[in-house]
Amino acid sequence: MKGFDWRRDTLRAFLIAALWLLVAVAVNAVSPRQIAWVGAWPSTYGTDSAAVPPSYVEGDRPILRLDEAIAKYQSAEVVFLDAREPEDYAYGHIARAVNLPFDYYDEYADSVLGQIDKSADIVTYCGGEDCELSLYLARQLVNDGYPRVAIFFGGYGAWEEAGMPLEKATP
Amino acid sequence: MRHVLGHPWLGVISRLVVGGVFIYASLDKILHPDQFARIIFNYHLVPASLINLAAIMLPWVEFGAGLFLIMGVWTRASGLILTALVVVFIAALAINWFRGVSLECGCFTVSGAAKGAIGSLILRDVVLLALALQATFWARPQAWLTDRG
Repeated sequence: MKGFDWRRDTLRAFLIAALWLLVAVAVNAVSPRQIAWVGAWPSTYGTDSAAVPPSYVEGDRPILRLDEAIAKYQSAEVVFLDAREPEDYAYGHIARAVNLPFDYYDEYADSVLGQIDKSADIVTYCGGEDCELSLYLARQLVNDGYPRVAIFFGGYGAWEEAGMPLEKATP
Repeated sequence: MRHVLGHPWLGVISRLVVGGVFIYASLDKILHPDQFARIIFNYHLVPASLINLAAIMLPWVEFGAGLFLIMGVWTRASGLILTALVVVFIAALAINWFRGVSLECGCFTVSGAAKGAIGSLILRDVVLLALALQATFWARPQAWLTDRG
């Protein structure tokens, strides 16, 4: 029994890896918990990445980085929906955004969504990266027939930090 | 120093710890590839098209190399794989630490609750790396626990 040998042991390492890759492929081919070989992940690779909500799953609506959210905002057609509580919205929100609190969705949905075309571009947001209401609201909207929804996960915090337009309650 | 690093018992301990840690770490990911894929996505290091393949394959390589390391099947080659994996994990954590991205480790569990300070996660991986290096490069043949290569 000798010590480490680069040639021999590197070759063996590849063989071991290949063996278990085959196992992995075989298991995924038959497992009830199998996942697609290639997932429909939004491509944030290599970019100044958008953070993603912890409960984000494959197939959820895309996450916008700050620059993408700003670009959308500047095309006047888009509707920004603030998913936070009315008190938070009243304190300050992204200028032109409409409040649709996820926690009171049923109460607000009719009056808010009545103004919005089903084919409209919608961006949801909430407080920032410690808040997932934007994700939940996006799912709800897709469910209710608004397919063109994106999530600005940076939310109010990132918007404010970037010096973008806000509407704030006067103290 | 060499004498200590090459001590037979240290080699056995390193193999048990490193192999055990990797086997344990692989189980939850093998059971929940969808959740693990989401965690990989959150690292923002793997191209979108390769995320699911990584989620399918990585846990099984962890499991297999960990198992072989403990069983003594091509011990050094198995150790080499695990050493390389730990180095990759440290790099991935460090990059996201530097970026300021908050992430789930995905080290031992795919549950979202398992968030730790990245610095302490890296520290833990450095300890694991030291043991993996020992098991791979310095461990001498052992009488106890089979060790074939």
